Amino acid sequence: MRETDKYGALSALVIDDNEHMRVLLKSLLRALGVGTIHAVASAKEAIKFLRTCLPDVLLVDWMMEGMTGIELAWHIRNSHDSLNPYIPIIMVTGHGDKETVVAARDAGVNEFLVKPVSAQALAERLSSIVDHPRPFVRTKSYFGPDRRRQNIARKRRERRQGDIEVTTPEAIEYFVSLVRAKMADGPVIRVHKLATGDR
Amino acid sequence: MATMSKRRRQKPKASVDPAITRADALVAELRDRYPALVSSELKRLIACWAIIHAETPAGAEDGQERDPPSQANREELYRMSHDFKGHAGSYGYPLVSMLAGSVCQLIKKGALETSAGRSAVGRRIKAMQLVINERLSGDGGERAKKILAELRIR
Repeated sequence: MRETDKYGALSALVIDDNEHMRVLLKSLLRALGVGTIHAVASAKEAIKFLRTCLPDVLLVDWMMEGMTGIELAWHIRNSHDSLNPYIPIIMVTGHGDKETVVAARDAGVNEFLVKPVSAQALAERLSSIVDHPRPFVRTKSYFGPDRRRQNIARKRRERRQGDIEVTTPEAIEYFVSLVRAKMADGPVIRVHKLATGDR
Repeated sequence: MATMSKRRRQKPKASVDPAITRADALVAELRDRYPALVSSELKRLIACWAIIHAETPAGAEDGQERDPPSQANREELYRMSHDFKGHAGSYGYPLVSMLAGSVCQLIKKGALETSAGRSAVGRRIKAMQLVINERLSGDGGERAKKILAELRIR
């Protein structure tokens, strides 16, 4: 099976207030084999859409009038009426600077796609979401995919020790490693909630 | 022997996913249609710029500083330029994207409040128009260089 043949069962929602970008992203997704593609022109429309239909992945433009892409990402991850806070989000933006990337990451965005958009770059982001999904973690100030994707084993040891909510098997493994570390070295770890993944 | 070890070291060619090839072909097709797709948007951008330019007092061409344009027009020009910056590159017109981005930066820096600044914005908008109308995709080649030189855009 070709890399992109596996996207036939995938459904995507494009959220962009610019018609040309909606056309381009929809066309690219279709060409890459994504089975079902929807598009809306604003974050508000997206929230309305998500009440009736839950796609597998969102492509969200950063700069939109009214509610921005970052605000939408935060809403999806943290709002009590969000039907799927775990939905993968690809943020599309014209700015690839560090501050922008960090802000997107902190809002719970899974992947970052900088304009100009290419078929190869979009395929890589889809592959990352489908083939290498990251566990979701919760801290006092963050809920979303684990923000430390590189060299996870090393990062786990270095991770700051604070309040965490465990939401995936991988996160449970991490929690166990933290407890072991506490037993061995005696650092202070406060774990005040252990969830199963359901919200 | 040396040839053999060189051959062994050569990595096998990565197979190109036909879906990527298909998507690239689609972008090429969209690139051809881009000038038609954005023609009304480009007209609106030029019309907005014309309004801002018309807000200039009569004596401004003599070197006087100009009245700043209304906030609404300034924001509209910025928004439209930002849109071009966003989609032009993805459609294969990086030069338009660069020019539009430059307009955004100039507006942010308050260029619309001075004659020199407005002139710089106007030249970039003119260049965007020429690049799109003459279908100068990619780096635009020699013709693009000439346009940028004539309009004194570095």
